[in-house]
Amino acid sequence: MALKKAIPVMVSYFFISMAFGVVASKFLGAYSVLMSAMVFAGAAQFIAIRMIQEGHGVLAIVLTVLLVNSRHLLMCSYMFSLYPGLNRLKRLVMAFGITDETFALGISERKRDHRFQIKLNFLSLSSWVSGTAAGLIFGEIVPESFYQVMPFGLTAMFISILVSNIKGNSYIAAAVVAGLISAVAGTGMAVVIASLAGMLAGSVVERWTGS
Amino acid sequence: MDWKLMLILGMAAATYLTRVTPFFIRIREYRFLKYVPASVFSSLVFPDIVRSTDNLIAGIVVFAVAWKNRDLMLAFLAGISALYILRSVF
Repeated sequence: MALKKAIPVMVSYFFISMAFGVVASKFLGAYSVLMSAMVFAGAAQFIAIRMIQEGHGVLAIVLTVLLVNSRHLLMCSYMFSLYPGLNRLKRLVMAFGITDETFALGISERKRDHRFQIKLNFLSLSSWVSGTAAGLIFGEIVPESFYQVMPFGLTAMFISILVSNIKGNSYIAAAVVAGLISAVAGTGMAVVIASLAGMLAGSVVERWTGS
Repeated sequence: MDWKLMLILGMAAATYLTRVTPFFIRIREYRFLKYVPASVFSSLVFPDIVRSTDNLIAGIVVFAVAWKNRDLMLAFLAGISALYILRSVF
């Protein structure tokens, strides 16, 4: 059940992390696999490799990763609101595997089952780690064009989640404001600023119109 | 310690911190929080679909598909095939 749900994410994670493995192994060798297993954050990992390439130090990279991943604060706050009764250990376990994609999969499910979410997280992680190892071992055997369309598959999933989360005018306001700001401001920390502006816009419209 | 290991541990700690902190702070303002999915996913989608004409067209195709059917797998397949076709044809 969880496996069936996780398949699109597992397939794209495998190929995206394979591309990561190819690039990262030039700088980190077998440590690339350890990075995928311990960090499990695509955008942050690609940025880190770029920064190593440009000669930045460890501290600068870690701080950048903190900013890039700050959007998790919003997603995980929402996730915790779905499972308010979770015990401490389960919170610690669930939190580790929350990515944009596992969050998307989880909230699109109607029934709320924390075990289902944790399974989704770890299935996705296993694919992310094995893809990295495959990239490290096999290198560039998959054609470049294949890697290039895979991230868009994830964007397509996000579009679907976006559409199903539009439940009225206030939600349209939230999405439009967040979308416009991020389209201008870009990725990373901008996602958080755009999202907060969107959330504010949604609440303002809700107060005006009562919907 | 090896700088590579230090980097990985630092990145892992920074990332886990952003994920775990909200699980130990209960936010009662659900009025704001309920807009998280619409806002976050809109912020993740828009920079990617305005990147090129191909992405924009493929994005519109996916919007149309997602409007009719909420299946994630279908959206995923529609996205990669639309973009793949657009890139091979044009």
